[in-house]
Amino acid sequence: MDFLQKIMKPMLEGTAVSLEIFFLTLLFAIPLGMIVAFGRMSKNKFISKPVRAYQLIMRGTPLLLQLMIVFYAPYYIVGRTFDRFASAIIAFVINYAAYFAEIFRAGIESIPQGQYEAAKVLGYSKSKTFFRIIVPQVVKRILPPMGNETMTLVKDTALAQTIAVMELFRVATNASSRAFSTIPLLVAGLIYFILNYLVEKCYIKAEKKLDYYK
Amino acid sequence: MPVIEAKSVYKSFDGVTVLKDVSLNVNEGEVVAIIGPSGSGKSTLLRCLNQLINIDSGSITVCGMSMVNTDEKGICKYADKAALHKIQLKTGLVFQNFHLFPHYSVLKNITDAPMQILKMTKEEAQNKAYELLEKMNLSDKANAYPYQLSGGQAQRVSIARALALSPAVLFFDEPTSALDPELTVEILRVIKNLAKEKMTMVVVTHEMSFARDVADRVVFMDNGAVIEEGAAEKIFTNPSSERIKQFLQHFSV
Ligand SMILES: Nc1ncnc2c1ncn2[C@@H]1O[C@H](COP(=O)(O)OP(=O)(O)OP(=O)(O)O)[C@@H](O)[C@H]1O
Ligand SMILES: [Mg+2]
Repeated sequence: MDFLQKIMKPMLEGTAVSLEIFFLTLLFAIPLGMIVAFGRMSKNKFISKPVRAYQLIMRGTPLLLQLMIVFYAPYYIVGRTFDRFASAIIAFVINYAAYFAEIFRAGIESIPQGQYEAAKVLGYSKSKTFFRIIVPQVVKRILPPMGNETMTLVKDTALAQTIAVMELFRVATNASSRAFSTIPLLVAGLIYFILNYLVEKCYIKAEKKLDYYK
Repeated sequence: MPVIEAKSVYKSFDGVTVLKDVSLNVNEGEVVAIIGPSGSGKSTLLRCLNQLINIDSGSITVCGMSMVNTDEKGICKYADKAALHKIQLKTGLVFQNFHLFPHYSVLKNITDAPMQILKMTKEEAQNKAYELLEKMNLSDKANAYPYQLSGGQAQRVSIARALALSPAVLFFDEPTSALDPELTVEILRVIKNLAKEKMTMVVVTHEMSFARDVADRVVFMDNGAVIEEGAAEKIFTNPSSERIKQFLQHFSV
Protein backbone atom coordinates (compact mmCIF):
# COMPACT_ATOMS: atom_id res chain seq x y z
CA MET A 1 0.00 0.00 0.00
CA ASP A 2 2.80 2.28 1.01
CA PHE A 3 4.57 1.52 -2.26
CA LEU A 4 1.45 2.22 -4.29
CA GLN A 5 0.99 5.55 -2.54
CA LYS A 6 4.57 6.46 -3.25
CA ILE A 7 4.37 5.75 -6.96
CA MET A 8 0.89 7.21 -7.48
CA LYS A 9 1.94 10.85 -7.38
CA PRO A 10 4.61 10.62 -10.12
CA MET A 11 2.35 8.30 -12.11
CA LEU A 12 -0.47 10.81 -12.03
CA GLU A 13 1.94 13.54 -13.07
CA GLY A 14 3.00 11.30 -15.95
CA THR A 15 -0.63 10.80 -16.83
CA ALA A 16 -1.08 14.57 -16.96
CA VAL A 17 1.81 14.80 -19.44
CA SER A 18 0.31 11.99 -21.54
CA LEU A 19 -3.02 13.78 -21.55
CA GLU A 20 -1.34 17.00 -22.62
CA ILE A 21 0.25 15.19 -25.54
CA PHE A 22 -3.11 13.62 -26.35
CA PHE A 23 -5.14 16.82 -26.32
CA LEU A 24 -2.54 19.02 -28.02
CA THR A 25 -2.18 16.43 -30.78
CA LEU A 26 -5.93 16.38 -31.37
CA LEU A 27 -6.12 20.16 -31.19
CA PHE A 28 -3.55 20.67 -33.95
CA ALA A 29 -3.79 17.47 -35.97
CA ILE A 30 -7.51 17.79 -36.70
CA PRO A 31 -7.32 21.20 -38.41
CA LEU A 32 -4.03 20.30 -40.07
CA GLY A 33 -5.61 17.04 -41.22
CA MET A 34 -8.40 18.98 -42.89
CA ILE A 35 -5.91 21.14 -44.75
CA VAL A 36 -3.99 18.02 -45.77
CA ALA A 37 -7.21 16.35 -46.94
CA PHE A 38 -8.01 19.33 -49.15
CA GLY A 39 -4.45 19.37 -50.45
CA ARG A 40 -4.75 15.70 -51.29
CA MET A 41 -8.06 16.25 -53.10
CA SER A 42 -6.74 19.26 -55.01
CA LYS A 43 -6.95 19.04 -58.78
CA ASN A 44 -3.58 20.75 -58.93
CA LYS A 45 -0.94 18.00 -59.16
CA PHE A 46 1.74 20.29 -57.72
CA ILE A 47 -0.28 20.29 -54.51
CA SER A 48 -1.80 16.81 -54.41
CA LYS A 49 1.39 14.89 -55.28
CA PRO A 50 3.64 16.37 -52.54
CA VAL A 51 0.80 16.04 -50.04
CA ARG A 52 0.44 12.40 -50.94
CA ALA A 53 4.19 11.89 -50.57
CA TYR A 54 4.07 13.47 -47.12
CA GLN A 55 1.19 11.20 -46.11
CA LEU A 56 3.00 8.16 -47.45
CA ILE A 57 6.09 8.95 -45.41
CA MET A 58 4.11 9.60 -42.24
CA ARG A 59 2.04 6.45 -42.63
CA GLY A 60 4.83 4.32 -44.02
CA THR A 61 7.51 4.79 -41.36
CA PRO A 62 7.44 4.16 -37.59
CA LEU A 63 6.16 7.00 -35.45
CA LEU A 64 9.02 6.09 -33.13
CA LEU A 65 11.52 7.01 -35.82
CA GLN A 66 9.64 10.22 -36.66
CA LEU A 67 9.83 11.26 -33.01
CA MET A 68 13.58 10.70 -32.98
CA ILE A 69 14.10 12.57 -36.23
CA VAL A 70 12.07 15.57 -35.10
CA PHE A 71 14.01 15.72 -31.86
CA TYR A 72 17.56 14.87 -33.00
CA ALA A 73 17.65 16.25 -36.54
CA PRO A 74 17.97 19.89 -35.42
CA TYR A 75 21.19 18.91 -33.63
CA TYR A 76 22.77 17.93 -36.93
CA ILE A 77 21.38 20.90 -38.79
CA VAL A 78 21.67 23.84 -36.40
CA GLY A 79 23.87 22.28 -33.72
CA ARG A 80 21.35 22.12 -30.91
CA THR A 81 18.18 20.31 -29.90
CA PHE A 82 14.90 21.89 -28.88
CA ASP A 83 12.39 21.22 -26.14
CA ARG A 84 11.57 17.51 -25.85
CA PHE A 85 7.91 18.02 -25.19
CA ALA A 86 7.47 20.44 -28.10
CA SER A 87 9.32 18.04 -30.39
CA ALA A 88 7.02 15.23 -29.32
CA ILE A 89 3.95 17.35 -30.07
CA ILE A 90 5.27 18.28 -33.52
CA ALA A 91 5.98 14.64 -34.37
CA PHE A 92 2.57 13.48 -33.15
CA VAL A 93 0.75 16.27 -34.96
CA ILE A 94 2.38 15.73 -38.34
CA ASN A 95 1.93 11.97 -38.02
CA TYR A 96 -1.69 12.02 -36.92
CA ALA A 97 -2.66 14.76 -39.38
CA ALA A 98 -1.67 12.37 -42.18
CA TYR A 99 -3.99 9.67 -40.83
CA PHE A 100 -6.83 12.05 -40.02
CA ALA A 101 -6.57 13.52 -43.51
CA GLU A 102 -7.26 10.11 -45.02
CA ILE A 103 -10.32 9.70 -42.81
CA PHE A 104 -11.58 13.18 -43.75
CA ARG A 105 -10.93 12.58 -47.43
CA ALA A 106 -12.76 9.25 -47.43
CA GLY A 107 -15.63 10.91 -45.55
CA ILE A 108 -15.92 13.83 -47.92
CA GLU A 109 -15.64 11.65 -51.00
CA SER A 110 -18.37 9.35 -49.71
CA ILE A 111 -21.00 12.10 -49.87
CA PRO A 112 -23.00 11.65 -53.10
CA GLN A 113 -22.54 14.24 -55.83
CA GLY A 114 -26.31 14.79 -55.75
CA GLN A 115 -26.01 16.59 -52.41
CA TYR A 116 -23.74 19.21 -53.99
CA GLU A 117 -26.02 19.51 -57.00
CA ALA A 118 -29.18 19.89 -54.92
CA ALA A 119 -27.50 22.60 -52.83
CA LYS A 120 -26.15 24.40 -55.87
CA VAL A 121 -29.56 24.47 -57.54
CA LEU A 122 -31.08 25.88 -54.34
CA GLY A 123 -28.59 28.72 -54.45
CA TYR A 124 -26.24 27.66 -51.63
CA SER A 125 -22.77 29.14 -51.98
CA LYS A 126 -19.78 26.79 -52.00
CA SER A 127 -18.98 27.49 -48.35
CA LYS A 128 -22.59 27.19 -47.19
CA THR A 129 -22.86 23.90 -49.08
CA PHE A 130 -19.75 22.63 -47.39
CA PHE A 131 -20.50 23.69 -43.85
CA ARG A 132 -24.28 23.21 -43.77
CA ILE A 133 -24.77 20.22 -46.04
CA ILE A 134 -21.54 18.27 -46.38
CA VAL A 135 -19.73 18.59 -43.03
CA PRO A 136 -22.58 17.35 -40.80
CA GLN A 137 -22.92 14.23 -42.93
CA VAL A 138 -19.16 13.72 -43.01
CA VAL A 139 -18.93 13.99 -39.21
CA LYS A 140 -21.45 11.20 -38.79
CA ARG A 141 -19.65 8.96 -41.22
CA ILE A 142 -16.15 9.45 -39.83
CA LEU A 143 -16.95 8.97 -36.15
CA PRO A 144 -16.12 5.24 -36.09
CA PRO A 145 -12.70 5.54 -37.78
CA MET A 146 -11.93 8.67 -35.75
CA GLY A 147 -12.76 6.72 -32.58
CA ASN A 148 -10.23 4.11 -33.63
CA GLU A 149 -7.50 6.64 -34.28
CA THR A 150 -8.19 8.47 -31.04
CA MET A 151 -7.87 5.28 -29.02
CA THR A 152 -4.64 4.47 -30.79
CA LEU A 153 -3.37 7.94 -29.96
CA VAL A 154 -3.95 7.38 -26.24
CA LYS A 155 -1.62 4.38 -26.40
CA ASP A 156 0.82 6.01 -28.84
CA THR A 157 1.57 8.81 -26.36
CA ALA A 158 3.76 6.19 -24.65
CA LEU A 159 6.17 6.48 -27.58
CA ALA A 160 7.17 9.95 -26.40
CA GLN A 161 9.39 8.18 -23.85
CA THR A 162 11.93 7.50 -26.61
CA ILE A 163 12.93 11.14 -26.50
CA ALA A 164 12.75 11.15 -22.71
CA VAL A 165 9.49 12.97 -22.25
CA MET A 166 8.31 12.11 -18.74
CA GLU A 167 4.95 10.74 -19.73
CA LEU A 168 3.06 7.97 -17.97
CA PHE A 169 4.86 5.01 -19.44
CA ARG A 170 8.33 6.38 -18.83
CA VAL A 171 7.46 7.15 -15.23
CA ALA A 172 6.11 3.64 -14.83
CA THR A 173 9.21 1.99 -16.36
CA ASN A 174 11.48 4.04 -14.10
CA ALA A 175 9.49 3.18 -10.98
CA SER A 176 9.38 -0.43 -12.05
CA SER A 177 13.14 -0.82 -12.48
CA ARG A 178 13.87 1.11 -9.32
CA ALA A 179 11.62 -1.14 -7.22
CA PHE A 180 12.13 -4.39 -9.14
CA SER A 181 8.37 -4.61 -9.47
CA THR A 182 5.95 -4.94 -12.34
CA ILE A 183 3.20 -3.23 -10.39
CA PRO A 184 3.88 0.28 -11.79
CA LEU A 185 3.61 -1.12 -15.31
CA LEU A 186 0.31 -2.79 -14.51
CA VAL A 187 -0.97 0.43 -12.97
CA ALA A 188 0.06 2.29 -16.13
CA GLY A 189 -1.79 -0.29 -18.20
CA LEU A 190 -4.87 0.22 -16.10
CA ILE A 191 -4.68 4.00 -16.54
CA TYR A 192 -4.41 3.68 -20.36
CA PHE A 193 -7.36 1.34 -20.25
CA ILE A 194 -9.47 3.75 -18.21
CA LEU A 195 -8.58 6.63 -20.52
CA ASN A 196 -9.59 4.65 -23.56
CA TYR A 197 -12.74 3.50 -21.87
CA LEU A 198 -13.64 7.17 -21.51
CA VAL A 199 -12.69 7.92 -25.11
CA GLU A 200 -14.86 5.08 -26.32
CA LYS A 201 -17.75 6.31 -24.19
CA CYS A 202 -17.47 9.78 -25.72
CA TYR A 203 -17.61 8.37 -29.23
CA ILE A 204 -20.56 6.12 -28.43
CA LYS A 205 -22.35 9.14 -27.04
CA ALA A 206 -21.57 11.22 -30.12
CA GLU A 207 -22.73 8.41 -32.41
CA LYS A 208 -25.97 8.11 -30.44
CA LYS A 209 -26.49 11.83 -30.75
CA LEU A 210 -26.23 11.64 -34.53
CA ASP A 211 -28.43 8.59 -34.68
CA TYR A 212 -31.52 10.62 -35.47
CA TYR A 213 -30.95 10.33 -39.20
CA LYS A 214 -29.56 7.80 -41.63
CA MET B 1 -42.55 36.83 -71.98
CA PRO B 2 -40.33 33.78 -72.38
CA VAL B 3 -39.01 32.49 -69.07
CA ILE B 4 -36.32 30.43 -70.75
CA GLU B 5 -34.65 31.28 -74.03
CA ALA B 6 -31.88 28.90 -75.01
CA LYS B 7 -30.33 29.48 -78.40
CA SER B 8 -28.08 27.18 -80.33
CA VAL B 9 -26.59 25.46 -77.31
CA TYR B 10 -23.60 23.18 -77.84
CA LYS B 11 -22.04 20.94 -75.25
CA SER B 12 -19.51 18.17 -75.55
CA PHE B 13 -17.84 15.85 -73.06
CA ASP B 14 -14.32 14.70 -73.90
CA GLY B 15 -14.77 15.46 -77.58
CA VAL B 16 -18.20 13.80 -77.81
CA THR B 17 -20.90 16.30 -78.72
CA VAL B 18 -23.89 15.73 -76.47
CA LEU B 19 -25.93 18.83 -77.35
CA LYS B 20 -25.90 20.03 -80.93
CA ASP B 21 -27.45 23.36 -81.74
CA VAL B 22 -30.27 22.95 -79.21
CA SER B 23 -32.73 25.81 -78.91
CA LEU B 24 -35.61 25.91 -76.47
CA ASN B 25 -38.07 28.60 -75.51
CA VAL B 26 -40.40 28.26 -72.57
CA ASN B 27 -43.13 30.83 -72.02
CA GLU B 28 -44.66 31.85 -68.76
CA GLY B 29 -47.28 29.40 -67.54
CA GLU B 30 -46.33 26.83 -70.11
CA VAL B 31 -45.65 23.15 -69.43
CA VAL B 32 -43.09 21.61 -71.76
CA ALA B 33 -42.36 17.89 -71.85
CA ILE B 34 -39.04 16.70 -73.18
CA ILE B 35 -39.04 13.15 -74.48
CA GLY B 36 -36.50 11.07 -76.33
CA PRO B 37 -34.43 7.92 -76.11
CA SER B 38 -31.83 7.29 -73.44
CA GLY B 39 -28.60 9.21 -73.98
CA SER B 40 -30.23 11.79 -76.23
CA GLY B 41 -29.07 14.66 -73.98
CA LYS B 42 -32.25 15.50 -72.07
CA SER B 43 -30.61 15.54 -68.64
CA THR B 44 -27.62 17.38 -70.00
CA LEU B 45 -29.88 20.11 -71.35
CA LEU B 46 -31.62 20.54 -67.97
CA ARG B 47 -28.26 20.59 -66.21
CA CYS B 48 -27.07 23.35 -68.54
CA LEU B 49 -30.21 25.37 -67.91
CA ASN B 50 -29.68 25.00 -64.14
CA GLN B 51 -26.00 25.92 -64.22
CA LEU B 52 -24.84 22.49 -63.10
CA ILE B 53 -22.67 22.32 -66.18
CA ASN B 54 -21.33 25.01 -68.45
CA ILE B 55 -22.14 25.06 -72.13
CA ASP B 56 -19.49 25.34 -74.85
CA SER B 57 -21.36 27.82 -76.99
CA GLY B 58 -24.78 29.32 -77.52
CA SER B 59 -26.83 31.54 -75.26
CA ILE B 60 -29.23 31.10 -72.37
CA THR B 61 -31.49 33.81 -71.00
CA VAL B 62 -33.71 33.33 -67.95
CA CYS B 63 -36.51 35.81 -67.24
CA GLY B 64 -34.78 38.33 -69.45
CA MET B 65 -31.47 37.99 -67.60
CA SER B 66 -28.57 36.72 -69.67
CA MET B 67 -26.88 33.71 -68.11
CA VAL B 68 -24.46 33.01 -70.92
CA ASN B 69 -23.91 34.47 -74.32
CA THR B 70 -21.71 33.74 -77.32
CA ASP B 71 -20.52 36.67 -79.42
CA GLU B 72 -19.85 36.79 -83.19
CA LYS B 73 -16.25 35.73 -82.63
CA GLY B 74 -17.52 32.56 -80.97
CA ILE B 75 -16.40 33.49 -77.49
CA CYS B 76 -18.75 32.04 -74.90
CA LYS B 77 -19.07 34.15 -71.77
CA TYR B 78 -21.02 33.58 -68.57
CA ALA B 79 -22.49 36.42 -66.52
CA ASP B 80 -20.80 37.46 -63.27
CA LYS B 81 -21.26 35.53 -60.05
CA ALA B 82 -23.95 37.79 -58.59
CA ALA B 83 -26.06 37.63 -61.76
CA LEU B 84 -25.67 33.85 -61.98
CA HIS B 85 -26.82 33.52 -58.39
CA LYS B 86 -29.87 35.64 -59.11
CA ILE B 87 -30.66 33.49 -62.13
CA GLN B 88 -30.08 30.32 -60.11
CA LEU B 89 -32.90 31.34 -57.79
CA LYS B 90 -35.27 31.75 -60.75
CA THR B 91 -34.87 28.12 -61.74
CA GLY B 92 -35.63 25.06 -59.64
CA LEU B 93 -34.71 21.46 -60.39
CA VAL B 94 -36.30 18.26 -59.14
CA PHE B 95 -34.05 15.23 -59.46
CA GLN B 96 -34.87 11.65 -60.25
CA ASN B 97 -33.37 10.57 -56.93
CA PHE B 98 -34.71 13.47 -54.83
CA HIS B 99 -31.36 14.35 -53.20
CA LEU B 100 -32.99 15.49 -49.97
CA PHE B 101 -30.60 16.51 -47.20
CA PRO B 102 -30.63 13.46 -44.91
CA HIS B 103 -29.52 15.31 -41.77
CA TYR B 104 -32.39 17.80 -41.96
CA SER B 105 -36.02 17.10 -41.09
CA VAL B 106 -38.59 17.50 -43.83
CA LEU B 107 -39.42 20.96 -42.51
CA LYS B 108 -35.78 22.02 -42.37
CA ASN B 109 -35.17 20.67 -45.88
CA ILE B 110 -37.80 23.13 -47.06
CA THR B 111 -36.99 26.12 -44.83
CA ASP B 112 -33.21 26.07 -44.86
CA ALA B 113 -32.64 27.59 -48.29
CA PRO B 114 -35.27 30.34 -47.89
CA MET B 115 -33.74 31.29 -44.54
CA GLN B 116 -30.09 30.95 -45.54
CA ILE B 117 -30.29 32.19 -49.09
CA LEU B 118 -33.31 34.50 -49.24
CA LYS B 119 -32.87 35.62 -45.61
CA MET B 120 -36.51 34.93 -44.81
CA THR B 121 -37.38 34.90 -41.12
CA LYS B 122 -37.96 31.53 -39.53
CA GLU B 123 -41.64 32.27 -39.19
CA GLU B 124 -42.10 33.28 -42.83
CA ALA B 125 -40.15 30.28 -44.04
CA GLN B 126 -42.07 27.87 -41.84
CA ASN B 127 -45.45 29.28 -42.81
CA LYS B 128 -44.56 28.85 -46.42
CA ALA B 129 -43.24 25.34 -45.78
CA TYR B 130 -46.41 24.24 -43.99
CA GLU B 131 -48.47 25.68 -46.81
CA LEU B 132 -46.44 23.70 -49.36
CA LEU B 133 -46.55 20.54 -47.26
CA GLU B 134 -50.29 20.79 -47.10
CA LYS B 135 -50.42 21.17 -50.85
CA MET B 136 -48.24 18.09 -51.17
CA ASN B 137 -50.50 16.24 -48.74
CA LEU B 138 -47.62 15.78 -46.30
CA SER B 139 -48.56 17.94 -43.32
CA ASP B 140 -48.04 15.03 -40.95
CA LYS B 141 -44.47 14.48 -42.14
CA ALA B 142 -43.02 17.88 -41.23
CA ASN B 143 -40.86 16.47 -38.46
CA ALA B 144 -39.90 13.22 -40.17
CA TYR B 145 -36.42 12.64 -41.57
CA PRO B 146 -35.88 11.72 -45.22
CA TYR B 147 -34.97 8.10 -44.42
CA GLN B 148 -38.44 7.66 -42.94
CA LEU B 149 -40.22 8.63 -46.17
CA SER B 150 -41.40 6.51 -49.07
CA GLY B 151 -39.99 7.38 -52.47
CA GLY B 152 -43.18 9.19 -53.44
CA GLN B 153 -43.19 11.22 -50.24
CA ALA B 154 -39.50 12.07 -50.62
CA GLN B 155 -40.12 13.27 -54.15
CA ARG B 156 -43.01 15.47 -52.99
CA VAL B 157 -40.80 16.95 -50.30
CA SER B 158 -38.15 17.70 -52.89
CA ILE B 159 -40.78 19.44 -55.02
CA ALA B 160 -41.84 21.49 -51.98
CA ARG B 161 -38.19 22.32 -51.28
CA ALA B 162 -37.78 23.65 -54.82
CA LEU B 163 -41.05 25.60 -54.69
CA ALA B 164 -40.13 27.23 -51.36
CA LEU B 165 -37.79 29.56 -53.26
CA SER B 166 -40.67 30.59 -55.60
CA PRO B 167 -38.77 29.87 -58.81
CA ALA B 168 -40.06 31.26 -62.08
CA VAL B 169 -39.65 27.85 -63.68
CA LEU B 170 -39.37 24.36 -62.29
CA PHE B 171 -37.46 21.62 -64.10
CA PHE B 172 -38.06 17.93 -63.49
CA ASP B 173 -35.59 15.28 -64.59
CA GLU B 174 -37.54 12.02 -64.78
CA PRO B 175 -39.23 12.68 -61.45
CA THR B 176 -40.96 9.31 -61.40
CA SER B 177 -38.30 6.99 -62.81
CA ALA B 178 -37.15 5.87 -59.36
CA LEU B 179 -40.70 5.16 -58.20
CA ASP B 180 -43.19 2.29 -58.26
CA PRO B 181 -46.19 2.75 -60.55
CA GLU B 182 -48.58 3.72 -57.72
CA LEU B 183 -46.16 6.32 -56.42
CA THR B 184 -45.64 7.60 -59.95
CA VAL B 185 -49.33 8.46 -60.12
CA GLU B 186 -49.11 10.54 -56.98
CA ILE B 187 -46.20 12.60 -58.30
CA LEU B 188 -47.85 13.10 -61.66
CA ARG B 189 -50.95 14.34 -59.86
CA VAL B 190 -48.85 16.93 -58.01
CA ILE B 191 -47.34 18.13 -61.28
CA LYS B 192 -50.78 18.28 -62.85
CA ASN B 193 -52.03 20.45 -60.00
CA LEU B 194 -49.07 22.76 -60.39
CA ALA B 195 -49.88 23.01 -64.08
CA LYS B 196 -53.43 24.07 -63.18
CA GLU B 197 -51.93 26.86 -61.09
CA LYS B 198 -50.00 27.97 -64.16
CA MET B 199 -46.60 27.05 -62.80
CA THR B 200 -44.06 27.16 -65.62
CA MET B 201 -42.50 23.70 -65.90
CA VAL B 202 -40.17 21.67 -68.05
CA VAL B 203 -40.50 17.94 -67.47
CA VAL B 204 -38.18 15.28 -68.85
CA THR B 205 -40.26 12.13 -68.77
CA HIS B 206 -40.76 8.68 -70.13
CA GLU B 207 -44.45 8.81 -69.16
CA MET B 208 -45.93 9.41 -72.58
CA SER B 209 -49.56 9.52 -71.50
CA PHE B 210 -48.64 12.10 -68.90
CA ALA B 211 -46.77 14.20 -71.45
CA ARG B 212 -49.76 14.03 -73.71
CA ASP B 213 -52.19 14.96 -70.93
CA VAL B 214 -50.36 17.73 -69.18
CA ALA B 215 -47.83 19.26 -71.51
CA ASP B 216 -48.76 22.20 -73.69
CA ARG B 217 -45.83 21.44 -75.87
CA VAL B 218 -43.64 18.39 -76.43
CA VAL B 219 -40.01 18.49 -77.46
CA PHE B 220 -38.53 15.35 -78.94
CA MET B 221 -34.77 14.99 -78.67
CA ASP B 222 -32.55 12.43 -80.28
CA ASN B 223 -28.80 12.23 -80.46
CA GLY B 224 -28.24 15.62 -78.86
CA ALA B 225 -30.59 17.56 -81.10
CA VAL B 226 -34.19 18.68 -81.01
CA ILE B 227 -35.77 16.69 -83.83
CA GLU B 228 -39.28 18.00 -83.52
CA GLU B 229 -41.36 20.10 -81.21
CA GLY B 230 -44.96 21.10 -81.18
CA ALA B 231 -48.34 20.81 -79.51
CA ALA B 232 -48.58 17.56 -77.56
CA GLU B 233 -51.57 16.38 -79.58
CA LYS B 234 -49.77 16.88 -82.87
CA ILE B 235 -46.56 15.11 -81.78
CA PHE B 236 -48.41 12.08 -80.51
CA THR B 237 -50.99 11.70 -83.24
CA ASN B 238 -49.30 13.06 -86.29
CA PRO B 239 -45.53 13.43 -85.90
CA SER B 240 -43.70 14.52 -89.02
CA SER B 241 -40.45 12.67 -88.43
CA GLU B 242 -39.98 8.97 -88.86
CA ARG B 243 -37.71 8.89 -85.80
CA ILE B 244 -40.50 9.89 -83.40
CA LYS B 245 -42.86 7.33 -84.88
CA GLN B 246 -40.25 4.67 -84.19
CA PHE B 247 -39.66 5.96 -80.69
CA LEU B 248 -43.35 6.16 -79.82
CA GLN B 249 -43.92 2.60 -80.99
CA HIS B 250 -42.18 1.48 -77.80
CA PHE B 251 -44.92 3.09 -75.78
CA SER B 252 -48.58 2.30 -75.94
CA VAL B 253 -50.09 5.75 -75.85
N1 LIG C 1 -20.51 14.28 -67.03
C1 LIG C 1 -20.47 13.60 -68.20
N2 LIG C 1 -19.28 13.23 -68.71
C2 LIG C 1 -19.22 12.55 -69.88
N3 LIG C 1 -20.29 12.21 -70.61
C3 LIG C 1 -21.49 12.54 -70.16
C4 LIG C 1 -21.66 13.26 -68.91
N4 LIG C 1 -22.98 13.48 -68.72
C5 LIG C 1 -23.60 12.92 -69.77
N5 LIG C 1 -22.73 12.36 -70.64
C6 LIG C 1 -23.08 11.70 -71.92
O1 LIG C 1 -23.94 12.54 -72.61
C7 LIG C 1 -24.94 11.79 -73.30
C8 LIG C 1 -26.30 12.33 -72.96
O2 LIG C 1 -26.57 12.03 -71.61
P1 LIG C 1 -27.89 12.50 -70.87
O3 LIG C 1 -27.77 12.05 -69.46
O4 LIG C 1 -28.11 13.93 -71.10
O5 LIG C 1 -29.00 11.65 -71.61
P2 LIG C 1 -30.54 11.52 -71.28
O6 LIG C 1 -31.26 11.91 -72.51
O7 LIG C 1 -30.85 12.23 -70.04
O8 LIG C 1 -30.68 9.94 -71.08
P3 LIG C 1 -31.59 9.13 -70.04
O9 LIG C 1 -32.96 9.06 -70.66
O10 LIG C 1 -30.95 7.78 -70.01
O11 LIG C 1 -31.56 9.84 -68.73
C9 LIG C 1 -24.74 10.34 -72.92
O12 LIG C 1 -24.07 9.71 -73.99
C10 LIG C 1 -23.87 10.41 -71.71
O13 LIG C 1 -23.01 9.30 -71.66
MG1 LIG D 1 -31.41 11.63 -68.06
